[in-house]
Amino acid sequence: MATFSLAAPNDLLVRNPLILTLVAGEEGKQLSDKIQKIKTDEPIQRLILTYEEDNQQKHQKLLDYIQSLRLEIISGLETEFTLSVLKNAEQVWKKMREIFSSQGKCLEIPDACPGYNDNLMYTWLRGEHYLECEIFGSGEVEFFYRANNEVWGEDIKLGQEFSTAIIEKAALFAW
Amino acid sequence: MKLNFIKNLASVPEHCYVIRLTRPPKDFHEKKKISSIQLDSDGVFTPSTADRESTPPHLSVWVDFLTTPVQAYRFLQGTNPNSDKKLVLRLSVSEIRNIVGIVEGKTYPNLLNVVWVFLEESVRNKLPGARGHSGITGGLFEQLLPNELTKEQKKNLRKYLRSELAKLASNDCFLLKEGQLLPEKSNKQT
Repeated sequence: MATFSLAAPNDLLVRNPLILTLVAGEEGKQLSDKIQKIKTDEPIQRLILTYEEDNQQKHQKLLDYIQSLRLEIISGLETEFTLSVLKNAEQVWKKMREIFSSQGKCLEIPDACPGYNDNLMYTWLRGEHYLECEIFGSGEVEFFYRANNEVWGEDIKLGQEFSTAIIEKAALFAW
Repeated sequence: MKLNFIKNLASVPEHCYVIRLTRPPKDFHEKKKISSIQLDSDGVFTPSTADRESTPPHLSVWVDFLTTPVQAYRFLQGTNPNSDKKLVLRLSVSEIRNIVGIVEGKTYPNLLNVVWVFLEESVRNKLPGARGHSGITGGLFEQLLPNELTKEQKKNLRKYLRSELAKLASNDCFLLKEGQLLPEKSNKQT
């Protein structure tokens, strides 16, 4: 299973003294200087920070998008979705995000789009993994996942706890 | 031209292409393409209540050698004069039929078909492009999927087929130009 992890580069820094014993002379010194520079500049930490800031911006964009859909209804435009489905969608996203943030993780911000049947769909894509969460104004929530030959789905009601299987699938899009 | 092979509910020939219109995503002008996910999440291949209740249940499409994209758009304007469904998706009939579903390792071919669906006689004989009306039938409607499958399996298979159609459509799509959509009278004057 393909996962994204920042563990490996940090391990390299921890193993710095070991590398020095393996690579002797001028070459070893140059390598040590490079590793020291990485430690001082903290590029990995900066990278994590950039990801977090980016994620926060995307999160705000998602909320703004849902709010723009709400304004379409309020301003009297003809829509195929209701205020109810937008409220449900916000609630589902908030809950999913909280599950992962309580584990110290970030769930990737999904693409979102309303459908034609008072539904709104969140979708995540990473490589071969595709997950969708379809939320209906009636309070039904349908998860669907596909990857190559694997297809999986589960339906729940709004407010119901997410199953382990749902969290496992969503975890493919968390870091 | 005599088109003897066209009979109501008969299969559309393999070599034909069908079109379906949808809303372009906001970034279409910039990217000039649409991803299958965008199409899938927009529900382009999700049958409406009317589609489900029609006989036989079908998702409306138009055979492109009998209905031009502009003519298809005119039909949409019948219910919504300012319809924003100006993105034309084009799919090969043979590719639609070749989609194979997989449920727990078992393959299911021939789940989708494309058939002629005649519109009411008054419409069919009067409006330009009306004769190209057809429909995608089969697995997009759970009641038409193999009975041996559970309800859950049918739902997953339907969603799988929907995403496969979206994948096909994302490879061949274009936007109707505003100039093409001028009222017919204005078009003749220019």
